[in-house]
Amino acid sequence: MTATATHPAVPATAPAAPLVVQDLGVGYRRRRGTRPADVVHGVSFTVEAGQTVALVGQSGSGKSTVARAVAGLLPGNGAVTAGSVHVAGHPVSSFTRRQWRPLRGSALGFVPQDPLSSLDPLQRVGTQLAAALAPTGFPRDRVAERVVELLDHVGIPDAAHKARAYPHELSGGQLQRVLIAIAIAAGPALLVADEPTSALDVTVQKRILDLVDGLRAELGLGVLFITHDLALAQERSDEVVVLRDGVVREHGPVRQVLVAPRDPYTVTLLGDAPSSAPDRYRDRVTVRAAAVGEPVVEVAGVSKVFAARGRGGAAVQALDDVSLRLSRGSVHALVGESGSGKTTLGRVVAGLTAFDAGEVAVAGRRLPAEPPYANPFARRLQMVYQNPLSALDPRYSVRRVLEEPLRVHRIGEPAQRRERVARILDQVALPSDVLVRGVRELSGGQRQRVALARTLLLEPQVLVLDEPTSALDVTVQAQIVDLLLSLQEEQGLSYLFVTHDLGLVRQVADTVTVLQRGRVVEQGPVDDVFADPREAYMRELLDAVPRLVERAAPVGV
Amino acid sequence: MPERTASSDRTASERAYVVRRVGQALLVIALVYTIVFFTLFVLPGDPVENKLTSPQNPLPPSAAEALLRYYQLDLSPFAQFAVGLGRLVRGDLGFSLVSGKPVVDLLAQGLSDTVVLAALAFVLTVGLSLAIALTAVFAPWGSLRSLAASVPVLSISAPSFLVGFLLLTVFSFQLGWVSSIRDQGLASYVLPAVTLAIAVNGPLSQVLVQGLTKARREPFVDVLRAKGVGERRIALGHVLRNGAVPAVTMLGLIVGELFAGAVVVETVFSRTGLGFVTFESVRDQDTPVILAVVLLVSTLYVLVNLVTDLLYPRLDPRIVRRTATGRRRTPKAAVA
Repeated sequence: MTATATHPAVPATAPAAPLVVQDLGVGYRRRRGTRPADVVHGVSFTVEAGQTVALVGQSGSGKSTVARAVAGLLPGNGAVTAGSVHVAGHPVSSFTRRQWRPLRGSALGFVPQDPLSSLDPLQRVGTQLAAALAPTGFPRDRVAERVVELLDHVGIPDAAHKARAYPHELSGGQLQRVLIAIAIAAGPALLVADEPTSALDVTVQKRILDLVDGLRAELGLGVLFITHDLALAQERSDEVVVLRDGVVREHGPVRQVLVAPRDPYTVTLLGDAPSSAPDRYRDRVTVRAAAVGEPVVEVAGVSKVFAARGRGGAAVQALDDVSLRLSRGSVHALVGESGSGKTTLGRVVAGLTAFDAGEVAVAGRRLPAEPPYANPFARRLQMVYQNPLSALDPRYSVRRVLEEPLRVHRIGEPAQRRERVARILDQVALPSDVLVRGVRELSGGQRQRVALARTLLLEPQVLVLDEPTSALDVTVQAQIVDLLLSLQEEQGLSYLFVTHDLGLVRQVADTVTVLQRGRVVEQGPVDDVFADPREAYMRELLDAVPRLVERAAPVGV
Repeated sequence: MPERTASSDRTASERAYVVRRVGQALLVIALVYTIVFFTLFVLPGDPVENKLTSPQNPLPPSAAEALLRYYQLDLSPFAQFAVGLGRLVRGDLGFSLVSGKPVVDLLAQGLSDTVVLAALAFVLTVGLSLAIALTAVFAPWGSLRSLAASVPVLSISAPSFLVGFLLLTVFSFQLGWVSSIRDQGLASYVLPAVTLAIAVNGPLSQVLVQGLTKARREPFVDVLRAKGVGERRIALGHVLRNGAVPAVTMLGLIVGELFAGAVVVETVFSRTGLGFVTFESVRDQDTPVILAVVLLVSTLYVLVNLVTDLLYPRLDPRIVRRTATGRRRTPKAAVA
C-alpha cells in the first residue's frame, strides 16, 4: 500500500488519536482474482480520545463496511483499496491478520450488532471474557477474579454466578453488556460499536448506550458509533458523518449537521424519522377521527399462558386479562417491549394463536379459542408481517404470490384475476413489470408492498400489522406508512398496529394499548396517554425514546 | 428463556431421561425381533420345513430330523414365537438350517472379525471426514478448498466394490504390500477398512462441510477475532465444535452403513466376517441366522444412536430435554 509510506508510524511517545481515517476506499471482489469493486470512496474523519463520532446512513450506505475496515474485520473478499486507517497510531489498513493480532483488544475493541449470536453458544460467558484477557498477559491466577470484576463493572447483577452461565441463559441486554466487557477488557483506545442496540428494546438501548457513554468518559475511549437512527446519533455523539452510497455527504459537529443540515440528503433523512415530526399526519388523523364507527375488533378479558419449556422453564403468562376495542376506520396501536405479549395478542386477533380465556370478536363474529387449521376469517381480517421476505415464498414470482389468495378462495376467472392483480399493484404503487420478478429480486420496501397487496386482494376490513416497518430504512419506512394511511382512508380499513416505535404510534394511531408482561398498563387516545402517562413504565418507555431536537430551517435548500 | 434449575433437579431429570431412552431402545429391538420373526418363520409355505426337508440341503437327514423337532413347527405361530423368545432370553439363537451349527457360534466367529474391521473403518471415516471438511473450509487456497468440497460427492458416487477392486489391484496384485488371501493380522484389515471408509464418509463429510461453513459465518467469529484469538484456535476450538454438532447425528447412521457395507467389502476381500455370514445365510435362506444377524445389527444401531443422543447435551448446553412431553429440540434427523 503506497498510502502507508506517506504516513510514517507515529512514535509511541506522541499521543496519537484513537482513530484517523484518511481518504479511505474499500471494495469487495465479486469473484476470485478480480479487482475489488469499491463501495466506499474517499472517507475521512478522526476520533479523538473521549469523543464519540457517529457514522449514520441507511442500509447499503457503506457505514458497516467502514466500521469493519477500521476494525480489521473485512470479509475475505473485502479490501482497503485507497487511503489509510490509523488506530492509535498504527497504520492498520495494510495489516495482515497476523499483524493485527497484537492490536486486537488492546488498541481497538469491537461491539457487534446482534448480541444474541455474537458469543460462542457452547462456551461459558466467563470463559469467553477470560479469553479477551489472555493476550494482555494478565496473571493467570487473577483472571477469574478480574472476569467477575469486569462483569460487575458493566452492570451485570450477580456477576460471579453469571460468569458460569451459557449465552442462551442471558437476555439480549445482558449479552450486549458481556460483549462490551469483552471489548474493553484489554484496555483499548478505541471502541467500534456497529449498531450495538438495533436488536434491543428501547429501554434496554438507553441503558446500554448510557453504559458506553460512562465507560467513554471514565476510560477516555474514542467511540466510533455506527447507527441508522439519527436521533440516537444526535443524542450520543459529538460529531456526525453522514454516508450515502459510500460517500460522505456531510461531516461536522452534531449541532451543525443535524440541527442545521446543509446537504439535501441529510434533510430528507431527518424529515423521514418519525421522531422528528410527531404531527406529520395530524390532519389525516383528525379527519379520520370524525369517521370512526362501531367496533370491528373486540377483545374481552383474553388470557394466554405458554407452557413451561423443559423442566427448568417456568410457564409464561403472555396475556393476562387483556381487553381492547378497535373501531371501524381507526388505527389502534399495540405497544410494549419484547416479551410484553403484543405480538401474541396480534396473532390471537388474527386467529393464528389459541387463547385460554376471554372472548375475541372480529366484525361481530366470535373467534374459536382454538384456531382451526385454515383461517375462516381470511376475507375479513389479514395479517402483515415484520419481515416480508420470510412471509412470501421466495421461489414464487410476484404474480403467483398475488394470484394465490384469489385462487385459494376461488375468486374470479383467470382474466378477472389478472385484472384485479394489476389494479392492486397500482394501489400499492408498484410498476407492473415486478409481476414477472421473483420475491428475492425486490428491495425491502417493494417486498413489503407486495405483502400488503396480497393481503388487500381479499378486501379485508381489518389488518393486523406486526411491526410492518421495523425492518426498513427510515425513508422507505416513511413511504410505507404513507401508503398504509392512504389505503386506510380510501378503503375505510381498520388497523391493529403492533409496534415498539412510539414515535410512529404518535404519528399514525388514534388509540393505544400499552402492554407490560401481558397486562394492559395504559389504554386510551394517543394524545392523552403520551401527554400524561400515568404509569411509571410508560414514562420510562417515553423517556427512552431518543428525540431529535428542533432544528433550524435548512441552509441553502 | 427458561432458567436452569438447581443441579440436583437436573441430575434427577437426566436420570429419568436416560431411563426413558433406554426403554425406547429396548422397545425398538423387541419390535424388530417380532416383525422379522413373523416375516421369516410364519410366512405361508413353511420356509423352515421346506428348507430342512429339501433334498438339496447338505444337512444329513438325521440332523434335519432333530432340527425339525427343535423348532416345533407344529405349534401355532404365537406359540413358536414364545418358544423362540424364551430361548433368546437364555442366549440360545437356534441352529443353522444348512450346517446345523449353533447360530451363536457362527455370529461370534463372524462378529469378532467384523467388529475390528468396522471399528477401524469408523476411525478412518471420522478422520477422513475431518480432514476433508477442514480442508474444504479452511485451506488457504481457493482451488484446494473447491477440490476438497467436491470429494464427498465423489465418494458417495463411488461403489465400494469398485473402490475395493482398485485397492486390491494396486496394493495386493501390483505392489504386493498385502496378500489378498492370506491372513496377515491387522495389516489385512487396512485395505477393507479404507474401502469402507471411502464408501461411507461422504454424507458425514458433507454435513461437516456445511456445519463448518455455517459456523464460520456466525457473528461470534468476528468477536473472537476482535478480541485477539488466533485463527487456528478459532477454527479448531470454536468453529469446529459448533459445526460438528449436526455431524454427531450422522455417526449413528454411519455405524449402520458400516455393517451393511461389510457384506460387499468382505466378499471382495474374501474375508469371513459377519458380512460373509449375512451373505451366505441370505443366499441359503438360513432363516435362524438371518434373524440373528438382523437382531444383532439393529441392537448395535440402536445402541450407537442412544449414545449419540445422550452425548448431545454434553456437546451443546442449549439442548433442553423435554422429559414431560417427550419432544426434544435436538437437531436429530432420524432415529433407528
